Amino acid sequence: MEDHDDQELISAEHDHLVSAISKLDKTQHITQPSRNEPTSLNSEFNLIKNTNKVDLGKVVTALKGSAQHSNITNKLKRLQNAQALPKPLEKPQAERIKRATGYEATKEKVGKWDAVVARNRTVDYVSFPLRSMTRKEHPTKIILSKLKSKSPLEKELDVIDPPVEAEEVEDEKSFPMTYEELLEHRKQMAKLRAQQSYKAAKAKRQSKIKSKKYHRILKKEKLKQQLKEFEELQEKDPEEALKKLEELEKARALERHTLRHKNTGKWAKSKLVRAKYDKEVRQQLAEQLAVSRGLTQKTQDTSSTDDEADENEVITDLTLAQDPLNPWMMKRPDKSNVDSEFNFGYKEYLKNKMQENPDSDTEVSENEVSTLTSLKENILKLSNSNDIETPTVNRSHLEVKTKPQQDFKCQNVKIVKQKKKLVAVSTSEWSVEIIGEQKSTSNSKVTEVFEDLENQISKKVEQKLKNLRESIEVLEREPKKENKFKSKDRNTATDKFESLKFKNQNPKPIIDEVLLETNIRETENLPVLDKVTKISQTGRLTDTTQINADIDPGKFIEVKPKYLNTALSKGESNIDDLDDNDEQIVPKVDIEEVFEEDDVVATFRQEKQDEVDNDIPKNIDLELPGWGSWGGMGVKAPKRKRNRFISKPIPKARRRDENKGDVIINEVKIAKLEAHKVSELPFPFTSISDYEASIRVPLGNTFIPETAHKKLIRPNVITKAGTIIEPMDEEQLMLPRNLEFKNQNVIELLAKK
Amino acid sequence: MSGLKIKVISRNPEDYLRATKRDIHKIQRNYDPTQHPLEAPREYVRALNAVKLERVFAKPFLGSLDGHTDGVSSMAKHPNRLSMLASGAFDGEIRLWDLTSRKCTRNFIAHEGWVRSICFTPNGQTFTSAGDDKTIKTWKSEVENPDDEDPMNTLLSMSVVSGVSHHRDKPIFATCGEHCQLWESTRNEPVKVFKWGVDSLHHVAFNQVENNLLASCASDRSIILYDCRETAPLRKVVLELRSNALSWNPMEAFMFTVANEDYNLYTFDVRKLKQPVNIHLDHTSAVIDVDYAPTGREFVAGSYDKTVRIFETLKGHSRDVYHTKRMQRLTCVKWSLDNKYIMTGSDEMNIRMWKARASEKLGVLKPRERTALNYADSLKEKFAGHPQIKRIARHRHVPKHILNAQKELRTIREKSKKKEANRRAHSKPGAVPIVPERKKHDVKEDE
Repeated sequence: MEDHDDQELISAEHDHLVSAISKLDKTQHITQPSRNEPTSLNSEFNLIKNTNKVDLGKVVTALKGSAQHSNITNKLKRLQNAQALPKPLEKPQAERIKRATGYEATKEKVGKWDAVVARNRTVDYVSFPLRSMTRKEHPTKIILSKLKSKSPLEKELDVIDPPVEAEEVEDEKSFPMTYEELLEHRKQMAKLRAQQSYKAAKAKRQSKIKSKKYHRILKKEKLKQQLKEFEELQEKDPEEALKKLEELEKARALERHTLRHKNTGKWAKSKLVRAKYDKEVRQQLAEQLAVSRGLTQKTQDTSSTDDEADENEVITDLTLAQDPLNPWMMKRPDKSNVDSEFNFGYKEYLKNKMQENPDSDTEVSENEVSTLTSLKENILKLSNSNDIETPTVNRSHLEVKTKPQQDFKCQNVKIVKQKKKLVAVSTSEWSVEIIGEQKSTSNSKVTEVFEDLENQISKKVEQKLKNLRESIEVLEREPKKENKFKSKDRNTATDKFESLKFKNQNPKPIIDEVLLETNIRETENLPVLDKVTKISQTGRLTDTTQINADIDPGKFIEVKPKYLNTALSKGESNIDDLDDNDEQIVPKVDIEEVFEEDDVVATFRQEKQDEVDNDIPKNIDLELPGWGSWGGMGVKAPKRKRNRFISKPIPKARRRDENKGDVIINEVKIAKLEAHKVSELPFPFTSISDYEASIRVPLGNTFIPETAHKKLIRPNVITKAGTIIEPMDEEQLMLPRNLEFKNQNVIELLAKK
Repeated sequence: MSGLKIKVISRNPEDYLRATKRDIHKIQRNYDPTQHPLEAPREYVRALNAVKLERVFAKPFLGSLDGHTDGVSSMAKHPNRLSMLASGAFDGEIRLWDLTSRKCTRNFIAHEGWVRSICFTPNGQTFTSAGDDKTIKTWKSEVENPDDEDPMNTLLSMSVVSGVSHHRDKPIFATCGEHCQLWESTRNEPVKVFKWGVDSLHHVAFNQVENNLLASCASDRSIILYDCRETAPLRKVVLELRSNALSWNPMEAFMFTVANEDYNLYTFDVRKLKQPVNIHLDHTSAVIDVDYAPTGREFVAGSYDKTVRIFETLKGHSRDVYHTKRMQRLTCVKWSLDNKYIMTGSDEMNIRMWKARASEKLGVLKPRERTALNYADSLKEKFAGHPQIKRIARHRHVPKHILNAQKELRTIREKSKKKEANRRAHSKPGAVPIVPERKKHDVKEDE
């Protein structure tokens, strides 16, 4: 301890001495700054000229002599001889690069908020603060255990045999569901249960069905399903497919092995006797054979020759050969029978056309088949040529990668598909009119017309093919460009904001206009003028612009007046059907009788009379007493003279309700009403009908049920009084919002719509 | 009397009349639309009445906080307490206010010269002020013993400090002046200094959502973006005139709005700085300060033309304009954190409290009252396009000087419009394209 103290004392004395000596020197020295925290900056205020930094060269010379430090000297030498690093970039340039990279990074980072922001902007209502309170809930056992006191015996027992504490699984509890999630979860569960019960009911129902036919069909369907699955498997998992194939093959073998469906049983033989004369029986037998054929058919297309021989063997019944309903025969196009011939070719087509079947496109006649097949061949050739061409292209442009090529192929296929469709369309262009005309003429003419059309079609097809080739050539050039675009897209992909926006379900007019600002003093005389000009303006607007048709709040309800004689004016035309009493459902009641005591009818008539009287143009008396003759008390101008000054107005057209009985028709447009009419479509709306529809939706609970009313009037921003709304935080990004919509593609598609 | 009989519904009044106010009755209604042929006109009338009542009840001014002996230069909201506000004046005085009682709770001279800027730390226990005397002082917001009156920490800056903004979570705050500097609360020297150009910066603001981003306004008409983790600034946007203040949208991480000298406010997207997302017109003089509502849907702007205007973020024109006869040039505006009030500080030493929605009823609302108000609001929204409703809803009285200034601006605007139209009419079609307002303003993006 003492030693330490001594040292400190000595050092302090030494410092003192040094400072005293330095003070002897009159020049001011700037001392090096003493600081106790690291800094990246050198202050300009205490820069020192002479530094006693170590000089590398001096060190080397100092170390030269000693053999001990040979290692270090060598290293130092090497350092001195080392190649100079490349010159760094100019400072402004380097800084610019730094800034650019930093900005790009932040741009991308900020993009993560897109979805949340887009949602908040377009969602119907948002409740602030966004973060919901999270509470840790205790399991009930703990709470209950606290309420119960243990008896002394129990306590003793606990000491001897401590109870095993049941540990509750808490990993689920750490993220309790929000209210919305809970609702969604419940809905899903309910849906699942409902589906389950439906399926159970269906299975029960089906198991009770005894019909043989039904089961047969079911079996067939199952087989088909199996085949389908097999085909799918073939693509996905060949090994599984092989196993499946074996199973199928087994079933086939079994079927071939037995004599079922071969028309060799007792039943078939008994039927065969009658088959010659009864068509129905023939049909039944044919059905049996068809079943056998269906079951014994090989699953693969590559049917070997011996199989065919097999099949040929099966057909033993020659009597059935000519049956039109025999499925074996139906497959042979070379052997025709009466029925099929009758219902074949153009006639069938014509029939279909006459029926104006919308699905007629799908039923293709033979000729169409031929054209189609030729077309297919052409296209196939084309695609083949493409397939041949593309590799060469690839060889020539090695930088073209495989993926674009695939895309290109896909496009090709698409084009081919489109082509087919086009043909179908062109066939349907055969209009009914022509056929109608041709029907009366001979059959040969019909064929001629069709031939012409075929020629036309073939020409068209050629033209189309030409176009296709050209487009393919263009496409060949395009892939590279697309690649470029893709890379560009990747850069701009950070901004998905627009695509994330949903369409507003119930748009409301958005008014983004300047406030109508006035001064208090000026308002006294302003508004009247304003109104007048406005009214005139609106009038003009409605006259000049056709698009801005009048939208009258009274016009929106298009309700059929059921119980009222007159409910609404039906339009601007002012022509109301007053005499149609067809709608009157309520039995006619004589109003006079009902309201016998209060004289309603009389008052109404009086009202009408007043209206009529008011409407009659009055004589204008322009007489000036004393003009041209003496005037004054007791002097009366002669009647003739007076009459000269009374000008009669132009007689008005007759009132429309003149002879209509107890009806008042208001024929004058009310100018006051004009001011209330909308003259232009507000912003988010694109059509008048949309806007009218939005107006037509009532909101008040006088018109709609309470729950709907509550839902419709919910404000779109809800805040809690006295609650601080914190800025959004990253927790918002983690919230799973739409659990039902997980598919990004669907979301984007919806947004586009 | 004739023998005719008419069936009428006769009801017992007990079924539909309430005995006491608390009785709940089911009101019988027929929702068949044929029974309500005039529902749209009736609702229209209701909307008209609602909008008239709204204007009748539009009394936004709540009161003023009197006490400063010089113009109010800056204000800061407490992050956790709604009732607390700190304000600094041009004479270096800082006052803390209790907004519920509208009383000053504490006042002291903090700086020599202006208090340039104040900001609270995220926990709200301390606040930092920057003054003209090149010092950054940290104070306790609550005084428990006399020692707390003194600043907890005083940092000496090498250069003038004109703005302070605190990081949302980390103990970092940024100041601006000659350069943008980042400070850590435990250090006496800035942790980081961002330099770009030689012009001084006069406002800095941290983004509260993407909390490492910050932006500052420079006197060379530019706005500079920074990331506090990077070593260099990110980007610079140069506008036509100087931006006075900047506010980040608290709900949309990449949006910010600047108050500009050219009477307009510009809303930018951080990722698309080539042109503003929106331009907010209507002020008739330089806009001095801007602050976002905590919902991010609206913001308030205070201007040199002695008015406060409230804008909706996605719209180009103001929703409302506040002014009083005695309010002079605005220096700072703040929107309270419960989205209900607006505080404005102005040249003539007063801080004023306003309602954010002029006709809103304050206090507790009964459920029926609330539904009625909600119904009225949705009706107003539904019929907003109708001319009379639009006229009433958007009509405001403003002082004459504003009206005159607006007239002048309108003539200027119309003149240029007319000139453009003429030019378009007399040149080859397509030679003079129609340029939207957003693209008209010359914005330069510097890398």
